[in-house]
Parts: sequence; C-alpha cells; structure tokens
Amino acid sequence: MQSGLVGFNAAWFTKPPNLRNSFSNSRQNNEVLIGLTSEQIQNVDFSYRYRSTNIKARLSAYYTQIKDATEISFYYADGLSGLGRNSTTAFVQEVLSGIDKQHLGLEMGIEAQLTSAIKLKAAAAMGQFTYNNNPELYLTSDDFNDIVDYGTSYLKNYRIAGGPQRAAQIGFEYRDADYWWFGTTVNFLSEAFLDISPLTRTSNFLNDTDGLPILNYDENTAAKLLKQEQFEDYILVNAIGGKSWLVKGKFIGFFVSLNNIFDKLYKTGGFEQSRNANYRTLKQDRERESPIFGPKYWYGTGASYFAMIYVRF
Amino acid sequence: MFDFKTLGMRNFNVVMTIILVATSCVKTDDFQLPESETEEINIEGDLTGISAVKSNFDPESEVIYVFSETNTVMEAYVVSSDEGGNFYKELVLQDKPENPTAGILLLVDDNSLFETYNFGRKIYVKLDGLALWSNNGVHQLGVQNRGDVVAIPPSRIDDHITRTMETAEIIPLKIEISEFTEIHENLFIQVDNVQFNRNLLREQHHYTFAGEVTDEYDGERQLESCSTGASAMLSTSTFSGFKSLYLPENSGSVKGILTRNFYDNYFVIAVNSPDDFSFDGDRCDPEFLKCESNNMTGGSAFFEENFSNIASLSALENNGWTNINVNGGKTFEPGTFDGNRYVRVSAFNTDEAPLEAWLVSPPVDLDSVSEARLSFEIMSSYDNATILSVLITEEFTGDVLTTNWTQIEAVIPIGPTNQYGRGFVKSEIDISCLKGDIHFAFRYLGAAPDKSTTYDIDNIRISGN
Repeated sequence: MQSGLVGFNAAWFTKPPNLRNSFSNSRQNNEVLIGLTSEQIQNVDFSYRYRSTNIKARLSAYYTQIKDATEISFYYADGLSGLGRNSTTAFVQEVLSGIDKQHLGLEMGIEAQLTSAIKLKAAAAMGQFTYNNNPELYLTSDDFNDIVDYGTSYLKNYRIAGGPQRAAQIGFEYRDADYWWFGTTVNFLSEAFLDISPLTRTSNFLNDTDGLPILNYDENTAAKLLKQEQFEDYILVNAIGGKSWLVKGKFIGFFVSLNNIFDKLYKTGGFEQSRNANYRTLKQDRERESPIFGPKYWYGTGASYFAMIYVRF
Repeated sequence: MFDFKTLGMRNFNVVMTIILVATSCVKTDDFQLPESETEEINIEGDLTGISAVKSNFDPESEVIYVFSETNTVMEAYVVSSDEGGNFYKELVLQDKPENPTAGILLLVDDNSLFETYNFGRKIYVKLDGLALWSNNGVHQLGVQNRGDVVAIPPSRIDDHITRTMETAEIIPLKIEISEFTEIHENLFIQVDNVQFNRNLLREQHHYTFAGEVTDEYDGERQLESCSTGASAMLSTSTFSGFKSLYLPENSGSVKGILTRNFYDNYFVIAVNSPDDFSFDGDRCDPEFLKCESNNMTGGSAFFEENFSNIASLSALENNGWTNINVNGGKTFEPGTFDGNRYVRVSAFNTDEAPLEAWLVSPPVDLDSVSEARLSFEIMSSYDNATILSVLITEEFTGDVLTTNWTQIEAVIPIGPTNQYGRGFVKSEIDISCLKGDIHFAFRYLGAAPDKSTTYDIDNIRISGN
C-alpha cells in the first residue's frame, strides 16, 4: 500500500501594531511612532507527503514575505553624527520602520522502518531568511530636542538572525524485542548569523559630528566591519537508550539520554552591540585585543547527561 | 488536499523551481555600504579673507582686537597637521590653496585636529566672539581671556569652525630663505636646494630633529641654501612624534610652515611630518682642503698660541695676528675665564647685519716640516646658528677679501641656545700638502640679532716632524 498527497496553502494577513512598537519610549513620553502602520504578511507553501508500509516521507517548500514591520530598540550609542562634537553619545530609542523580510526554504524528512527492530530517520531543512529592503531609521532620546533622522538603513540581503538556517539530521533507532532499545542522531547545523545593528548601516556610520564624512573612511575596511558574522557550522551527536523488566506485574526500567556527546562548543545566536555607532568607534574597538563593546553571543550547552530509573505500576 | 497524481507532482516541481530561481542564494557580503547623504552646507554671514582679518590688529598699540556683531565669516584652508605632533592645539590657515597671500594661526583647544580639519580642508571661521592679537611673532585668532588670547574651548569649536566638503590640493609657495618676510608668515612654503649644516651630521654626533638632551620645547636645526648660502632654522617640537629621527643628510627641498621662533627673533620652518623633506640631491658643502698623510700623532709643535699672554687687542696684533671686520665694526677680542685666556667673537648686542670678522694667523713656514697638522679648540655659547668657518691659504695677500682661501673641515660645535658652552671641542686637520708661508683664518659671519652665536677659540697648534 502506498499513497502520495500534495498540499498547498496561501495566506495574506495584516498584523496591527501592538503597544511595544507603537510608542518610541512609553515609559517616558507619549510619542507615537512616525508613520505607524500595520505589518503585512504573505505566505505560500507546498507540500508533498508520501506513505508506504515502511517508508514515510515529506517534502515541503515555503515562501513568506513580511512588509512594513517595525522594530524598536533601546541602547547607549557612542559616535552619533551631525549633532556637534559635544553630543556624540546618548541613550537612544531606535525606530526602524518599513522593514521587509523574506523567508524561503525547503524542508524534507524521511523515516524508514527497515526491520521490525531497526528504524532509520533523515531530515533536512534549507532556508534563507533575509531583509528584503532598506528600511528607514530614526532615533529619539531625552538628550535630543527633536528626533534624529538618519534616513536609510542599508539592510537588504543581510540575514535575519534566529538560529541556523540550514540543518540536517540522520538518525537510527534499534528496538529489541527483549525490552531494550537505543537510538542515536547526528545533527549538522549551519548558516546561523549574528543579529546586526541597523544604526551602523545608516549614514551615521560614516558621518562625523558635523554631518560630513569621517576622514580616512576606507570602504574596504568599512565592508569588513559591516560584514555580518556567520557562526561556525557544528555537529551535535545525541543518543538515547533504555531497558525495562517486568517484575511481579510491575515495570522496572531505566532511561539514559546523552546530548552533545562530543562536548562541542557552539554559538546559537547573538547580536552586535550598537554602542559603537560609527566607523571610527567601531574600528577602534575591533582593533582591541578584546573589544569592549563587541558582539554578545549565546552558546549552546556542552555535553549533558540524563538518566532515570522508574517503576511503573 | 487531493490525491497524488503524476500531473500533481510535475506541477509541484515547476513551482519549486520558479521560487528557487526567483530568489537566488544570498551571500554574506551581498550588502550595500551606507551612504553619507550629506548635502553642501550653507554659510550665513558675509565672507571675508585672512588679510582683511589681520588688518584689524594694530601693531603699534598691540591691543587685542575682539570681533563682535560683524556677522562675518573668514574663508580659509588648513595647512598644518597635528598628526605628527609638531603642532599642538592650533591650526595654521592660509587664504588660498595656491599662491597664498596671507596666513593666520587659529588656536583651538583640541589635540586631535587632523581627524576633522585635515591638511587642505577648506573651512569657514565665524569671527564674532573671537579675538586677534600678535604673539610669538605671528597673528593669532582665539578667544580673549583677560590680557591673553587663548584657544577656542571645546564647547565652542563647532560654533566657530565649519568644515566644507572641499579638501584642496595645497601647492606650496616656492621661496628662497633670503626672501622670507613677514607676509609669508603662516603660509605653506617650499624651499628648494637646501641642506642641514654639516656640523649637525657628524659621525660622532648625528643630530635628530628635536631629540637631543639640550632641546627644550623646540629643537632648532640650521638649514642652508645651496644656491644663496643663506641659512634658516627648522623648528621641531620636542613633543612631536618624529623628534628622535635623524636629520636627513642629503640636500633637496623642504615643505613646511614659515613662522617665527618663540621669542620672535627670527624665521623658522615647521614641518607637518618628516615626509615633507625630499632630500635626494647631493650635498653642496664647500671644497675642503684634503691632504693625504696618515700620521696624525707625535712630532713637535713649532707654532703654538694659547693666548695666555694676550690681554688686549694690541697684544694680539703685536703677536702677528690680523684681526679685522670687513665693515669696520666689532672684531675678535681677547677674553678670560677662570684664569684661561682665549679669543672671542660674537654679534650679540651689536647692530651689525652682516657682521663679517676675520682673525688671520701670523705666517707659519711649513717648508722644513713634514706631516704638518693644525689643531685648535672652539667653544660655542648662546648658539643660534653655525656661522664660523676656518680657512687656510699659501698665498695671503694681506687683504682677506682678495686672498684665495681654502676651507678646512673644522668641527664647529653646536652649543646651548641660552647659556655658556660646556667646553671646548678640538679639531685636528692634516695640512701636510701645504708648503711655504701659510696663514689660516677664522671667519665669523653673523647678523644681529638672530645670528649671534658666541665663539671662543683657544689652544691653536701646528705640529709635525
């Protein structure tokens, strides 16, 4: 017996702004964002499922577009331009509006029951999540009399951060008739990216305190400074296993799971601090042996073990 | 959802292919760099130039002139750079990038001006609130603080100085040392065909720009023109980053700012960086007497003068010395210190410019002498230029100006600028190739008030076998 199924979904919906991205700094003032608008989301996806006696498989593709998104961030910035030499630092609220994002990708999975005891699994996902336009950025702050408009933030083609955009897994499971079993998976993860700072992608990056370009601004160096960090690929190996016994009508058993067996150190995410807001401050900080305001990273856990013994009655 | 058919699968493939082709893979360096988006700035106020600004200062009364309610803006180009540390909290400004006619010094309280106001940058200076005076010999703009004009404080720099987008190529004004005048002050000049005085470049002591123990605030080094013989000082701050570099040895051109020394006695050149020297020509030192005897020791002295019995000008002449000033002014004079007698010459406290004085030795017969050598000791005090030379001849006519002299390569020491010298320096010269009655002479070429080094000469001796 075998069968295949094709599925198709399409969606278009809007998301009204919520409290968090309607006010630039609701704790201090009542300033509503300039050009506040609803976010629009369009999505299409196709899928194909296949099922036979011992094979289950699924293949799908998706494409999502988000338009007019708004993001607000709070941070302390060093190296603000155009405000005079005595106002280069401030605690600011960054309003990034009109953001277009694009998510597209393929996913597939297959599970094969080779014998009654052995099962093989494989899965892969390939995605590409990018900013799809150059949104507008302005700053507000207690330290400014008015908003500070830095115009276009050149984000197009930068990757959206949030976990690996490519992943693959191969797994194996053995289930013995004698009430013991074990399984292992090997996971390959790649294309995870650091969350970028939109402020350094605006004119502020290369302008000096008087609004004119910074001297000795070098485009090649700038391109290096503004290149998005891609995290290293990593492989995680996990295993689980267990056994149970029937003793006097009760089940006694144990269960063990091992995660990240080879104790791989890996970055799962992180973000560029916006503190170094221009070419000069960013370059200076990067040239340090250990930057003071370098990116913040999150790391995955190292090797971890879990074991339990149970009695079921 | 519908049941799988071959047709369905094919459609699926087609749609997927379209999606993938339409959005090809993005690489991490597929981004665009931000752009400046700056528009040209607008200047409010009436434009004026540096020479018009300078004319507000009255050199007679020397009263500080304060600009107020003039609504004027001075247009200028930056020609100094504090990157090398030779300029500190100041910008030298001139009126045009090429063939400038006026320059001025703007005092700004910021120690990293080159990062904003770079060499050649056209700027506008809003004058209202600024003050003008003359200090250390040059016109300076700043803000008034009681009886002084001081640097514009950091909080007011942006109010007074506005950058434009233009960074001009500054063409230095080509000029000879002998042509330096007040109107060239604070201009970016180029002097061609010059070299450092050879006494700064001796093997036993090769001078640096400003890294000698005797250098205070500024190191001043004598530059000589190969074409006119005129000399001027190169002034380098002891706070500059290149103060410890050796002076370049060859000759060539130097670009820098013409200004005055701290006490406003004479012109000095200050460079932005050691790259402003292009010394790739040969030196133009005079032809020195060159004899080739290898024996520089032993023998007996048959001419000796330590001036111990010479206490007056007449005693000097009675001993056979010719002591004259070609213009009839001050000559070499006997002197004494701590029981030691010597002869001294100096243009200090005279009004003579030039002061050309000669001290010619009595005749010394070398016919019966082989391997003759001449030695003497010189001390330099209150040194502001190397202006002594030693010459020799086989045919003295009695008139120093008509005699055919040959220079000898004496070590003329470079003494402290503001005190007596620390000791005599001995020169020993091979004169074995000369015959007959020879005369040697010390020639002093000073010019009050700025070339007035004091030289003391002692222990003259000719020895041989």
